[in-house]
Amino acid sequence: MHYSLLLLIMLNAIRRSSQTDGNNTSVNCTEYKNNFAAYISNFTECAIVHARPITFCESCVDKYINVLQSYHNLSTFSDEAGICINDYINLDRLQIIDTLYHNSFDLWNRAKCYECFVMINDTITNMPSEETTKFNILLNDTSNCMQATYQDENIMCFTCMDVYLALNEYYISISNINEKIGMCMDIVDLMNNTRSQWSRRCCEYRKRKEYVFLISTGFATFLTLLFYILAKFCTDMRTPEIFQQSRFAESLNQNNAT
Amino acid sequence: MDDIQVLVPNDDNDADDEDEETTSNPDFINTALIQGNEEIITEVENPSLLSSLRSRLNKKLTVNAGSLNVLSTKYESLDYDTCENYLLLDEERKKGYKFIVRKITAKWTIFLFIGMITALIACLIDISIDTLCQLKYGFLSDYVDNYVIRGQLYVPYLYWIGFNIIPVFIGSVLVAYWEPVAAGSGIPQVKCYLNGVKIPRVVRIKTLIAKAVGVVCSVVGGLAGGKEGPMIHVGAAVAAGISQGKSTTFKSDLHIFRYFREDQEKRDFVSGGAAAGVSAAFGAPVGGVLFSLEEGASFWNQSLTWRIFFASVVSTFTLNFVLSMYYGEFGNLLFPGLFNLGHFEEFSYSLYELPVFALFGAFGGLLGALWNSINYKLAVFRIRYLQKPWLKVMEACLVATMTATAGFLMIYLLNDCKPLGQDPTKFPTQVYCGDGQYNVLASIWFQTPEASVRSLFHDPPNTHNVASLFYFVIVYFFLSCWTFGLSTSNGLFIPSLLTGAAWGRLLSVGLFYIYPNKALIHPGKYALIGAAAQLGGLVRMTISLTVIIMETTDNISFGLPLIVTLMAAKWTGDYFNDGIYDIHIQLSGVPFLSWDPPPLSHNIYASEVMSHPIASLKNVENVGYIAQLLKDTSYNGFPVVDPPILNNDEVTIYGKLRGLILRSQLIVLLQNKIFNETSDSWSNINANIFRDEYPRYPTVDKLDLSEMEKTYSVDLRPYMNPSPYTVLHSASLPRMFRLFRALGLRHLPIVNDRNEVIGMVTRKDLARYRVWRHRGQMGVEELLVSKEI
Repeated sequence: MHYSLLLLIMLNAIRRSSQTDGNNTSVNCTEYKNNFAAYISNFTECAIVHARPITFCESCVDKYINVLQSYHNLSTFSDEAGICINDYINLDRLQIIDTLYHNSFDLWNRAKCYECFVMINDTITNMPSEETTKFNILLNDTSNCMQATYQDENIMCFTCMDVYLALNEYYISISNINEKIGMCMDIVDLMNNTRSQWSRRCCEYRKRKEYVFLISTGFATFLTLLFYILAKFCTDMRTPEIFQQSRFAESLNQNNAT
Repeated sequence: MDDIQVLVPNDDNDADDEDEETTSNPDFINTALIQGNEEIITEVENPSLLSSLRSRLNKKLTVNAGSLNVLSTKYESLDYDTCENYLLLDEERKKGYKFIVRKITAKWTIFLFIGMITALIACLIDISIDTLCQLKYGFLSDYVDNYVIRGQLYVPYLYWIGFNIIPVFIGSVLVAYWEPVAAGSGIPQVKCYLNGVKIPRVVRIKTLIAKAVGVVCSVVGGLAGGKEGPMIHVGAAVAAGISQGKSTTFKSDLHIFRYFREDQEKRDFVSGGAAAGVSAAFGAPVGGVLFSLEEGASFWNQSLTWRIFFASVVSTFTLNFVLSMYYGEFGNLLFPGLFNLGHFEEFSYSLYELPVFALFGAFGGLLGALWNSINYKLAVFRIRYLQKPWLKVMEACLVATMTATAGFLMIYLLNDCKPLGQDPTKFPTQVYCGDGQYNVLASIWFQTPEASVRSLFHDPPNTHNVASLFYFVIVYFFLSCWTFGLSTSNGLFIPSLLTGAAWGRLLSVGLFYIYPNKALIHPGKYALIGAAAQLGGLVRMTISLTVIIMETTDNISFGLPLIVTLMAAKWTGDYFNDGIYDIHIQLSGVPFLSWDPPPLSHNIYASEVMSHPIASLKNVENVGYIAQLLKDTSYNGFPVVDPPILNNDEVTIYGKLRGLILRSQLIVLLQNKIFNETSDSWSNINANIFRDEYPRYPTVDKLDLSEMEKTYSVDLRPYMNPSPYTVLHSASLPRMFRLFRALGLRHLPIVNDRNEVIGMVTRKDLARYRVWRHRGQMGVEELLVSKEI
């Protein structure tokens, strides 16, 4: 701690000596910094509020865009001392601004929120993407249907089957489950909830009686046992003959005996 | 070198000496018989010395097949001793130092190619297994989910059986009918080869093909086996193949590398190939080198080690390069080995965990001993009752069926569900789970065992249901035990790692219940310890296994826990039985020489060990006599002696040793008709006439000798080894043993103090004395020898 403080003081001293005027940061840059701080805190608050059930992407997209923008400002605008961000990064080991920015950035990307929104020239917008819109329509259909028929399981499973299957199929088609989960977390969470609601009440139809399967496993086991038993009783065991080695002592004894 | 008997004529009364030896001799034979009693069917009724000897001579003794203490006469020894005959001297004089430089260059080139070709074959095997498995398991996963709704699970079940049986059938037919030596993991065979035993056909190209295709078949067929052991065999075969510059199978001789056509040079290459195989299989170049060191090469020198290391590194690099190219990440070098345990991130251990690791090791040793014992019983059953090839094929197919049955029953009965998307699962199968969930057991069974090991190591805590892990351990333990020893080529590394990883993870859950707030209990770590313990308990390898596991996990700091675990596993296991490879070596009756001679055996003398009436040849010998001798005996080395001065039938006369000539040399001499009487038509005799036939010389029956030629004579002196290693008849067993082990001898003539050959000691005579250890006791037993094993 002391060393870094020392280092900071030394660096400041060096920079001061190289600067023409004594002011190390302009008013301009401080403003950008304060903006950034406000946006980061907004975004963080939003993320925590919408953590469960996850509506994080949908609710916080504006705030995230603000964070991006303010960081961008910080790193492009410059006063007479140079680019603003250089006053805040790579100066100490704490790296507060950088760390907090990357935290937000990582959180957003790990949730794959960018999949939910339209991207224009690699920059994110707050317009929901085509997949999101379509998914939401299907989801609405399903949940409306499920709510309408909530009382009776039989009716619900029967009437909502088609809409549910359509939703499920669409979800599978967009989420490329063989590799990694490819959808944004909001959708994943919504879908998980819907699925678990559905499965809890309507999955009984998967279980059937599997007599043929069980009998065939039994048959395979029986066949294997039969093979070993037959092999044991129908094969003659080999009894290899011991080879007589000729040894010195034996030849002497043989000579004596004859 | 002090073992070489100095040729000092000594006219003392040696007949008395021999009498003394015989009085000490019979005791030993007697005890040997009593020790061997449980296996001998014919009872020795009168235990007195002479009658026991007579019964041995007159009655035919038989043993049950599948006995551990019978050596087979089928196996011959490799000959690492250079035959310093005139041809060699002649060659050295002509070729000079330029030749030596060329030979060294050639050696390095060959080691380079050994590494590369081994790795390329490994890539080929890996890619084909990967592609076929994806097809198979993708199809099965779809079918299970389609048919489970209709209540027709038997349809995917039958498909699974079919997909298992077809490849296994191909693989086992290949092994059972075409090349039986390609069965199993191949490590015991390579181990024997490096020990100096010539296992017939072990490094031929036919074996290589059978092995490579067979391993793809058995892994794709879903058998509980891995491709790592076979890779070692493949490496050895590649090395033996390309270093010789010829192929007998394809009947082509490139006439290059002739100077490498001898056992010693070939053995060096084979040890390099085995190391390259290990290195390709596990991405562990150092482990490969140490494997070669631990398992074999009796000669070990700095330059050979360096070359072997070179081959290993080349092998892992080539594999890495090709695989990263195949997976579309050219030049990224992310795939150091076929089997990669993945990188462990947080791996720390504290001092108080070491006893826990030792306990894990001991448990692994117990399980390993149990596994070995069950597998031994199975192997004996197979030797006794399942000898016919079609029975072997049928057994392999049945095991493939039962693997599918066990897997499917587990998926069906244990409905262990997990939400999708927590970790990458290749083929999530729903079965009876809710939507958005997958069946954990289906995901384990519908992937290659390697991927399962990796997920057991790296999945976050609490992902696996305790019950499903428990059943999985039990089922896989027995399945892998049942599978090893089938006539298919697959190894046991992966299945035992999988079993061990599963019970290690299971025990870590138990530990977690006892000490809920210990942050150090990381299930992945204990899965690794369990895997090491299980494997160590089976194979009882030490150095190389530690290093291999360290290298595949990229974790050097974890060396101490691994060593503690493996030591505990080895000691616990050794208390009950031998390592699985040693058991299989003993079952096949290979005369294997261990590292050290049997203890307390200095009172066993050469005169007791040697074969006594020896077949010797004269310096200039009659062709007909040689041909007849070769036909009548099965010996491979014949002492060349001076004819005895006086010939008296009353006393056995021995000739004075002049040299040693091998059966192979005699056959080449007869085949090329190098007779004294036909010396005009000899054309350019040099050492290459012997090398052209190496390694498979024609048998004596193939020789075409006219009656006229049989009256001719041949001068053996320019071709024989004029200065073979010999020892006096009073040399002790450990002394001869060390000569064989260190110098790689094949024949050791025993001389009396007048330098007359009175007997011959070969590998089998020494391997007969074997140490046994069981439940803390040990002793030396004398093995029997049979022609029919």
